[in-house]
Amino acid sequence: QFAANSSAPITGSSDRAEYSPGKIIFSGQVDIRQDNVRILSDEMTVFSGDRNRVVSANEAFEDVNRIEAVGNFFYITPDQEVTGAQGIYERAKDSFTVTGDVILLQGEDNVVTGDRLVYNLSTNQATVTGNCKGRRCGDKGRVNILIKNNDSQQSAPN
Amino acid sequence: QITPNGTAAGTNRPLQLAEDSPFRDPDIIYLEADALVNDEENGVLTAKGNVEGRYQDRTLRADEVTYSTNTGQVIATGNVVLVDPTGASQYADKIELSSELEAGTATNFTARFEEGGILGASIVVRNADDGVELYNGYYTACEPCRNSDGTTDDPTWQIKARKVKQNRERNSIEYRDAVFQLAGIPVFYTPYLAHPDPSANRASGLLAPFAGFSNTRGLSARAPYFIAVDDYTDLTLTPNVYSKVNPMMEYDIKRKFYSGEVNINGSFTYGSAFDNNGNSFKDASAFVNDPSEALTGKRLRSHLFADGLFDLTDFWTTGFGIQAATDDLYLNRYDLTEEPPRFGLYQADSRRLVSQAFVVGQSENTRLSISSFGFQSLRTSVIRAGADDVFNIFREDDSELPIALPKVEINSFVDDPVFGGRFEAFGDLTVLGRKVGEDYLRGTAGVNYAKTLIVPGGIEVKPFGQARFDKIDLELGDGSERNFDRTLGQAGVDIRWPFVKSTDGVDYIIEPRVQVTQSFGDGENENFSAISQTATTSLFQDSVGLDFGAADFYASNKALGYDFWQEGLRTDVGASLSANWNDSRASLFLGQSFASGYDDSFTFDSGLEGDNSDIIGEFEIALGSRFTADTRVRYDDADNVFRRIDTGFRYNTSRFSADARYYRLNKRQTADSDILLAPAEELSGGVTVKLTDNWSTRYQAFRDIDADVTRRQDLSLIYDDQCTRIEFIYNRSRNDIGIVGDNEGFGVRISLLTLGEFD
Amino acid sequence: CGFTPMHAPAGLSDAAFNNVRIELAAGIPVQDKEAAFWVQQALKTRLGNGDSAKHILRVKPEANRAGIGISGVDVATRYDLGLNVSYELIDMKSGKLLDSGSVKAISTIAASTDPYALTAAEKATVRNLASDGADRVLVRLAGYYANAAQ
Repeated sequence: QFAANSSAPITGSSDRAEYSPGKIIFSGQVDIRQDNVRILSDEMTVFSGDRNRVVSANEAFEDVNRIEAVGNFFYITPDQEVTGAQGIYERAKDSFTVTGDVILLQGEDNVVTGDRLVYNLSTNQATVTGNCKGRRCGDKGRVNILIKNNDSQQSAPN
Repeated sequence: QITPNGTAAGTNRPLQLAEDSPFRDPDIIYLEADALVNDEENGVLTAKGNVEGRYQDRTLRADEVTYSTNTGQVIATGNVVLVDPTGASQYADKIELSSELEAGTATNFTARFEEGGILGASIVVRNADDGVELYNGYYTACEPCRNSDGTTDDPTWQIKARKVKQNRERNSIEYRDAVFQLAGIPVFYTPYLAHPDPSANRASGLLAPFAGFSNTRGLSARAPYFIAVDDYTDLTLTPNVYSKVNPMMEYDIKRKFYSGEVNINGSFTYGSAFDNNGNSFKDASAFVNDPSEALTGKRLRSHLFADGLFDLTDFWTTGFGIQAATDDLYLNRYDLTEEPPRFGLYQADSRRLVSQAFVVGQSENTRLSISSFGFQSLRTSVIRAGADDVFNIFREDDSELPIALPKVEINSFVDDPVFGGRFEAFGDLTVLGRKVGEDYLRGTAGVNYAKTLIVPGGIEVKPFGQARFDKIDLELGDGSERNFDRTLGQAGVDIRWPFVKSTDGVDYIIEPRVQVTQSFGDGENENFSAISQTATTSLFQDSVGLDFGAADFYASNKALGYDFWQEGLRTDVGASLSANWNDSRASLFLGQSFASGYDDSFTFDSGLEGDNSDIIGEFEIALGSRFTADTRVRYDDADNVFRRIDTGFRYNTSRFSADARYYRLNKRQTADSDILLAPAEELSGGVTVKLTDNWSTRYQAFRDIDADVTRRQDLSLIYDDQCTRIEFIYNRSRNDIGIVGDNEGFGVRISLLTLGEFD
Repeated sequence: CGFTPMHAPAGLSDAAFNNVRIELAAGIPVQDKEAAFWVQQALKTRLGNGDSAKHILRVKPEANRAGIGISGVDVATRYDLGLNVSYELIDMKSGKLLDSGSVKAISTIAASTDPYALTAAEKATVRNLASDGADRVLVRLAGYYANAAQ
């Protein structure tokens, strides 16, 4: 399951699917959904627990060991959306790692960009990091955060 | 909802941002960090690692910034710096900012004001009206410098207080239970103290000194109270208390308008006049003068210096200046300046005040000035008359001083299209009224023409001419009247032949020059003298005071004014040699003026009496900015005597500077316009020695060699570090003003940066 | 002996340096506006109106006054009237600063008992200082142009 602490069934669709032992490769507007979480990518390889048995899509999703989604990767939840070049889910770490021009839209207007996002599904915490540390990096390579705080009108400064 | 010219959140400071800057939106905060943790459950974004934040025109730096999406609260922790665009910055370990990056509460907080004040506290809370409250805080303007062993010693002075409140609305900083510490030693305690917030750039600060001593007024202290009346007006009330005389209240009002501003500075007290030992004049019979003139009696005494200046258009400027005091010696008694800074068109001479109103229009070729001005004299002396406690008051009577109502001057230049010269149309209407003495009206109108021509060989030839008409009306004190007019003219040529030589870095320039002027018309100068049985008095209202020198040498009208008209032919012959090498210069001028065919009622000792003028010499030298000297002389070749020697030098280095000036006049006879007791020979000058980085001493004196007396002497020892200035001043003057005015005194003045403006 | 006429045009010309246009610096306070006017006119009379100008001469005159000759009633009986003129020579096309400096003209007058007479003497002296100051600026300019010519 790649939706935070949810065991709802995973459903999905794609143009093609290629079955081989222990893994299925979907390609062409891959769109899979679990509860209110949705993942899109150009291509996605799902590794199931049993490495030498060819399984159907549903079986694979029940026993997901690792997912590699590559190309226009989207991870969408009701109040946030993560995009990047590719996203990798590993059940062992129960985390999703998105890399390559990662953009995290949080709420309607808060935007975070960085180089790498690790979304820990058990703690429900996403950590975005850049590929350069310190103020010397200028604007490239660091995590940029834009907060649009439109509930500030109501809350007068304390 | 972007506010185009909004103000920075939480202040009335205008936003310093480009028009289209996205940061104008008060809801946008931008952060840059090494990492960001988005904790969705508690809705907290945490930026970590060298965080740099930007909100409107403020910058935030911290190790970590957490932003809670539901409460909008921003907390910055670790080496937190919040910088305003004005440069005011705040440092803290932890600052809780409201979502608009305004400092909420902070621990171990220091704020640095752009003008140099530092405000710190261990706990800071932002209060409701948006000011800041600091608990066991301190305020100082002394830069805490860290010694090599890491400890920082106490600043020269600081104010510690249980509670310090920055009141933004009143632009002031207020202290509860404040202790004033001098070099770490508590000096005095006060339950309440307020002074202007240095960041309010309109705050005029306080007038130095903060405290002092003088043997006329005893110990003195002043506590300013600052009120920002509204956005355009601020008022500073400064009560001054003295140990030997009644307290005095000073007030300073600054009012800004769209096209200008008005500054009003005054003071008032209630009490009697006192001499320079602080003893009040009580007994009217002690004065030989008429009782009405006696200086006794308690009453409201005050002074007012007000000025206003308005730029109406690029051409028109208008303004006014008022300088007045209820009694002549009031300013001197309270050590208030008797010579306010130069303002407007007219500046009074010593121990006099001038009030004026003017409208001036000026462009590249035209100047029009309409003004009116009048004077108040402060020249009063109180001298012992025989027995010890009997005094005679000598006072210059204001009613003898003229009021100019109005003085209109017009000068407009036009290029001559035909020959390429320049016409100047000029006019001057001057009306002087005196309660006692003569009234005067003169209307003058005329045209000047001048054409500069360079003829082959590089000779610069300037033919010039003038036609002028005067209408003069003099009403003498005895009621008689003189009403006449005159038509005058001048034609002349000014020939100069400058040569240049430039070798190995030195430029030499030699310039022989001659000017021949023929005057036409009867000046009727005799109308300007009133002959009675006893004496002839001069009625010239201007054209006095000339001391013929290099700067006036080639003036076509050498009388300093309109009344005296120089008739006949005059030839001025002179030559100047100057040399410039890198930033040093030397120059020499020699000249003499020859006249014929006119009466010589030029003022005596102007150097122009008689047919041949004195020989004029002037030598100047400047070696970089370290040493400059100049000498000006007038040599009377008829009687082979120097009529005037005037020489001075100035030498300064970073540690030591000295300047001196000596002049000697050998007068043919005194003119009645000269001031009595004017020294014919005087040596003046000063020396400043920097003893250590902070201590320096200065001595200054004016010595009248003729009367063999040192008129003024000041010796001061000054402690000056970048936030404190303490002056120990001893001054002594020898004059015949008597028991008033400063004759000898010792004073101490303590001024603190941002608490007392350093003049 | 190496001296050449400062103005050495072959034929007739109507200005000392006819490639210079005069300009007053901005922000001259009202106290110095009169002195500034007379410096500007003195320069224009010698330099012509500079229509074919290649350089701008921007001047900032500042008048000042100091009392000396302190009398027996603590009153200054003589006044040093000074006029500092700081100038900048700027290339019109490029705006490059070619030369700058400042000159000082000084004249001493005797104070008189009547304050209007002193005011009138100051006014007339400022006008004389303005033309003397203008001449001193032009002497410096001549030095600059002589060097530049080499």
